[in-house]
Amino acid sequence: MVNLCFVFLEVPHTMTRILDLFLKTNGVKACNAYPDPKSLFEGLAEEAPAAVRCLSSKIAGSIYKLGKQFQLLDEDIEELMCDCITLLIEKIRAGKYAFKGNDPASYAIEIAKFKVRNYRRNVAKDATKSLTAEQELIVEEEAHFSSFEQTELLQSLLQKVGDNCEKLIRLRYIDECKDMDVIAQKTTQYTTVDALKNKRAQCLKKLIALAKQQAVW
Amino acid sequence: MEYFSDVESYVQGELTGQKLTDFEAAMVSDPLLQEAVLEHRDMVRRLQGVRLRNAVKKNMISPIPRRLKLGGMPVLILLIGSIGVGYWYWTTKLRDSAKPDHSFPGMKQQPMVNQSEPPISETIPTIPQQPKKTEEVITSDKKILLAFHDAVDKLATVDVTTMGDGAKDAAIERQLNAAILLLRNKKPYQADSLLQKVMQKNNPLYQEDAEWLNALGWLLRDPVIGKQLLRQIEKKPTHADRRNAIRLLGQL
Repeated sequence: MVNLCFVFLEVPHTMTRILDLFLKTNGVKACNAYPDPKSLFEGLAEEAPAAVRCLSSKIAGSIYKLGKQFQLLDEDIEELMCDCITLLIEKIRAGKYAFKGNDPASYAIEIAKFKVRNYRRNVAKDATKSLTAEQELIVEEEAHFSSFEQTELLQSLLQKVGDNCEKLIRLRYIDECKDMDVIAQKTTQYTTVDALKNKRAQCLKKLIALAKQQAVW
Repeated sequence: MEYFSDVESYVQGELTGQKLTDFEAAMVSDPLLQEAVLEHRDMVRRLQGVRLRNAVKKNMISPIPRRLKLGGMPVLILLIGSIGVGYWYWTTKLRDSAKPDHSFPGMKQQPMVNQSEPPISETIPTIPQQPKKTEEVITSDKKILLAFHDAVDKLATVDVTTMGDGAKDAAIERQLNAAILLLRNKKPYQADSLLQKVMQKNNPLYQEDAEWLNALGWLLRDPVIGKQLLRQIEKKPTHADRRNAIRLLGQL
């Protein structure tokens, strides 16, 4: 039975990976634009979609293996990888990860290793196992960066500020639309940039108050 | 309090000149405004984090094997199926290419008078050849084989629609075809009995063809008798295959 499971679960997995490799699909193709670690690092700093594809293709196998090793669900493995890449990009943009000739993929995998261990530690509530000084630093740093939980929480808070406010905040900060364009395209009820800004300032204030209330920070 | 509406512009770096100076001065004197700026900046950073995470999720390649999301199993089945079909095609091709070419030119174009009857190739079982022996015969007498081909060509061009008694002619024609197949399978003795039947019917249309094939058949099993039969054809000035017989005798 175990053998049968292996045939039906593992072989197709391996086969699809081999197929991906041979068909030069997805990340393998995306990595053509980033032949060396430096170009990938620069691509990630610019949030280039191809760089994200390339990096994810490089780390996908390791993260899947790592996730399975720690008995994570498939959805959690996917979120874990998303967290790692987001964290890496945020660190690059904040200047906290400087290029020193190493492949960014290695760093992303290290983040994943740490995150998954930390996740297990939290789940097991293993307080006896203390973190090293280095790990404590990562925990502290990570607290300032976006993760799945924080994103989910913020998304849920956004839904509570009202439809109009949610729309205004999303347009500006998530969809990155320019105020002039929003007015020109009549996406909202506001006809001037000042009116739009004033309303959005109120909305953000409301969101901050809600976040405080929910003890997000 | 009036400066609170400028918090966003300040955080975004959009304030300039006097407005910026005034705002910064207000911030120093108003701790609430200072706190509002910090909170706003933090919220913007978090919102941008949401944006970045959404962008990453949209562009990244899932680490989950495709079988779970897009059905890798059908892909695998398709792949195995393709390999199977490819293998079958390859082996079939190999088997076909390994077979010696027995086709006589013109045989397929031979019109059938009675369509309800099965074709000759089905009624006469094909006898598997022994390649080595066949090759010996063919190499020793390639010219005879070429003459066979000519004879079949000639038979193929016979216009059956012009025949008076269609059924009778068709029967003779089938016998001739059968004889050709037998000769092809190196069964000259069996072919001979059929050719004798054709010759006994004295049908002028097929008589000469039968004589010619008979001579060729004999050349395969007994060249001396074969040559004698060719000479008999040679002596008939009106015989359709007289010239072929003379030429073949000259070559032999």
